[in-house]
Order: sequence, then structure tokens, then C-alpha cells
Amino acid sequence: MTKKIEWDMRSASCNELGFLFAILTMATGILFSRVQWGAWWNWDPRQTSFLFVLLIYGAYFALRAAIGDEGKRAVNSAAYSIATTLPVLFLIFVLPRVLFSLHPSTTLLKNELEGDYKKVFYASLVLFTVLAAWLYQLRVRAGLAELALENLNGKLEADGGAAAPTGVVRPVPVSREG
Amino acid sequence: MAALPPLLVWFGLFLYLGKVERKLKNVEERLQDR
Repeated sequence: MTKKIEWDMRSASCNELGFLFAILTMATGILFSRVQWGAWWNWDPRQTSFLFVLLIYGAYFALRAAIGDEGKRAVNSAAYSIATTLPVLFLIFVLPRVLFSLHPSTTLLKNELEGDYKKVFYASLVLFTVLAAWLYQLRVRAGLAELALENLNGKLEADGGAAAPTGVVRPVPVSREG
Repeated sequence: MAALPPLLVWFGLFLYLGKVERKLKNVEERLQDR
């Protein structure tokens, strides 16, 4: 088990992107539901279980925001992520198939997508996968740069508090009262 | 023809991400110089 803070940043990046794409899924799903079934929302098992997935994601960020200490935040976030993996898989892959749902579940396996649906679905699958991978590596590189900057600031402070490399102006005591 | 607007959106998005990537690379290079 590693205790490097870099891995916490990677984990948080994954969760951020997961949350972003889950919100997009929910938003576009609601629009599609209106077009297909004539209702924005009807508590279908797939809709409801996915709502729980969104809440689980949201709680991850609430948890992170509630813990000030960097190390404790990393450990608790990791534990939360591991603990919610199985429930999330259950909510996405099992529950909607056990209960009656308006969502078809064998369309892809039986190759039942037709015409424009098929084209748009497979094009989106490729494009969104590329987008997710690109966003992930950008987010991680930004996170690594941030960590490198923090290290640099720490080193400068240890050397007697020279000017920060980012152009930050630090208050300098010019006179001592009393 | 109907595919044009979404394709333009994707193109714009990737163009924008390319710009972000160049900015990030610039920051990384400056960090390495320190």
C-alpha cells in the first residue's frame, strides 16, 4: 500500500471525471426519456438506481471537503471509494435487470440498434472514451504541477522564505511593535 | 448534413482541449526550470 499523496490526487481526478460524465448521462437521459416515453422522469429502476450512483459520487466530494488534514483525507477517501465500488456496480448492472424496467438491457448483445441510433451510439462511444482519457491525463498533469509547486514553496520556506515562484507577494514585517 | 452541428461541437471541444494542453505544457516546462 502506498501513502503517496499523488495517488490520492489521481483518485480524486477519476472521481471528478466520473461525476462529470454521470451528470451528463443523467441530463441527456432525462431529455431522451422525454422524447421516447413522453415523461422527464418516472422513477424507472434504471433512473432511480442511477440517481443513487450520483448521490454516492456527491458524498465522496462532501467527505473530502469535510476533512482538513491531507493524509486523513486521502485515507478516508480511498476507504470510501473501495467501500462503494460493489454497491455502485450492483446499482448499475444488477438492480435494473432484476426489477422490471422500461430500459432494454439486451439491445447491444443482440445487435438490435438500427440506422442512425447505431451510428451515433458507436461514434459517441469512441469520442467519449477519447475525451475521458484526454481529460484524465490533463487533470492528472495539472495536479502533478500543483504538487510540484507546493514542494517548491515548501523548499523555499525551509531556505528562509524567499519569494514564491508564482509571483505571490508575501507580507513582510517592516517594523516590530513594542 | 444533420451530423454537422454535433461534429462541429466535438471539433471545437478538441480544439479547446489542445489549447489547454499547450498551456499546461508551458507551466510544466517553467516548473522544471526551477
